[in-house]
Order: sequence, then structure tokens, then C-alpha cells
Amino acid sequence: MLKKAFPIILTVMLMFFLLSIFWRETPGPRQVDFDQDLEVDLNIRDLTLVQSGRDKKIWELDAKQAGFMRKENIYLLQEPVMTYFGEKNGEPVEIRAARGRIDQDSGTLYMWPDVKARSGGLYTTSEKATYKEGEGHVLLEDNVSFTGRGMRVDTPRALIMLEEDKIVATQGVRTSIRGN
Amino acid sequence: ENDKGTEITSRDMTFKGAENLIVFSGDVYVRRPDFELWSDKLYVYLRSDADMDETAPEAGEDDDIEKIVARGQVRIQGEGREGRSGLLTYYPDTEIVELEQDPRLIEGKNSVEGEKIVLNLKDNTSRVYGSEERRVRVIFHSDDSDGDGQ
Repeated sequence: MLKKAFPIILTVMLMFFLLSIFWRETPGPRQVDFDQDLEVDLNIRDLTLVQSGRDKKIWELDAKQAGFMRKENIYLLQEPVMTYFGEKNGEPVEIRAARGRIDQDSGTLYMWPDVKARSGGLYTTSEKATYKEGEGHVLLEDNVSFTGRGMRVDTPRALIMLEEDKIVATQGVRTSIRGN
Repeated sequence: ENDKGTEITSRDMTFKGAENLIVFSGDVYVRRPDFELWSDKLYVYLRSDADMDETAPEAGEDDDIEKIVARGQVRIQGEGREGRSGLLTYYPDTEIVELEQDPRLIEGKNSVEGEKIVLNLKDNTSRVYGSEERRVRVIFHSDDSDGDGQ
């Protein structure tokens, strides 16, 4: 009896195995490997978004992987890198993090944790970064610290001004400057 | 412990890379190996736009401080003396401190006032300048005035 049923069992197992591979690879609704394991409508590998204005790139956002959720109108990002070129031909500001989220309705980009930014010769780390379309700054929060130019600054909150080589720290600042 | 450099705490800070300038405001306190300083506002002028060390940003280049300017209720303490003024300029290279805007230098019970007071932290000397409007005024407390009667 077992001998007769064996081919059927084998066929079913094979089909189930193929189905599981098919299910994982196709773009159909599936789990995205983010910490919340959300279901997304579209899964994108190597996402690049660009904002241009008056024949010039203003910012570019790259992400290793992104999941788009149509109803919420948001992108969930893995390893996002935001580069802001700004109006003047100054050095671009670059900000990267482990995760990110674009809220299309409010035009806001959230990045967290392990945020690293480079701006005007200073290297910055923080837990969170927020950029809102049209605002000329990026808000850094939680354990913000800058190093560079022989200086280290620690503060809970700071703004990287995108249109000028300037950083503003508020709510208590500790600075140490090496050198003479 | 930053034994050679400068430690600053304040409420706010603005770094202006293009101007090589850092502005501190709100309860500013500065600690250096040779003095402590308090003021409302502080301006630290960095000398050069040093090249960043790409490989080890944390180490960074040691930017020299060209000068430090303190404004508003300035108080500086060091070597048993205290200086007070509305404006103070400090040049790290020469270790010269210039006190202006009602400067006053206090040492123990004695004090001196003038138009401008210049302290040399290297050789621990001070020089007081007067003007027509503001002559040098020295207040000395001799020990006798303590009334110990000998």
C-alpha cells in the first residue's frame, strides 16, 4: 500500500516545495523583513528617489530595499542614504541610517537608528533624524554628537542647516576643543 | 579629561563652518588649564579650515583657536585673581587676556580699574591702561587696616 502511495506523496511534497519558493520571490503581498514585519504592497530593491528644481538636483534618497504601503502612502526603507545638494555649490550634506520611513502625505523623511551625517567638515551621530520637504534643515535628536575640526560637541538636539554651512545645537551643549 | 584644550558648556551653540566660528550662548562656562570663565555669550574663532581626516574622523585635525571673545557679565578666574568686564578677548598663542568695558581686576581685597586691563597668563603679569574719561583707580587694603594694632 505504501509503495503505491509513495509517488503521490513525493509529488505533493515537490509541489509544496516549489510553491514556497514561488511565494517568497514574487512581488505579491509578503512580509518585509523590518522590525515590525509589515505587509507591503510593493517591494523594491535599490530604491532611488530624486528631487530636482531649476535644472539642479536638490536631494537624492537611496535605499538598499524599500517597501511601499499604498493605503498609508509610506515607504519603509532599509539602509537609507539621503544626500542634500542644496542651492549653493557647497559640499553636499549626507545622512545615513539603518532604517527609514517616508511619509508621502506630509513629505517627511524619518531616519533611525545609528544616524550618521557629514556636513561642512563635521561628522555627526544621533539616534534620530527628521527632514521635512521644504524646510532648510534636518533635525537630529537623542545623543547627538559632532566631531571634527579638533572639536567634539555633545547635545540632545541639533539642526543641520542645509542651505548654509551651519549647525545649531540647543537644549544644553557640551563642547571640548583640543588644540592650543 | 581634556587637559590641554578647552571645555565649554552652554545652553545653545551655533557652528558656522564657512566663517570658522562657533558661537555659544546662555550660561556659558569655559574651563581651560589656566583659567575658568563665565559669560553670557562666547565666540570661538578657529584658525583654519583644517583638512578633515577622512579615515578617522573622530581624531579630526586639531584646529587651533585663533581667539576667544566673551561678551556680557564676563568673569575670569585664575592664579588667585579674578577679572570682570563687559568684554574679554583671549589669544591662546600669546596667552594674553584683554579686559574692556568697565574692566576690574581683583586680587584678594585689592582691586584695580581702568579703561583696559591686559593680563599675561604666561608670566602672570597685568597692565592697566587709563584714559581721559576713565583714569586708573587702585584700591589697596593694607594689612594695618585690619585693626590688629601691632
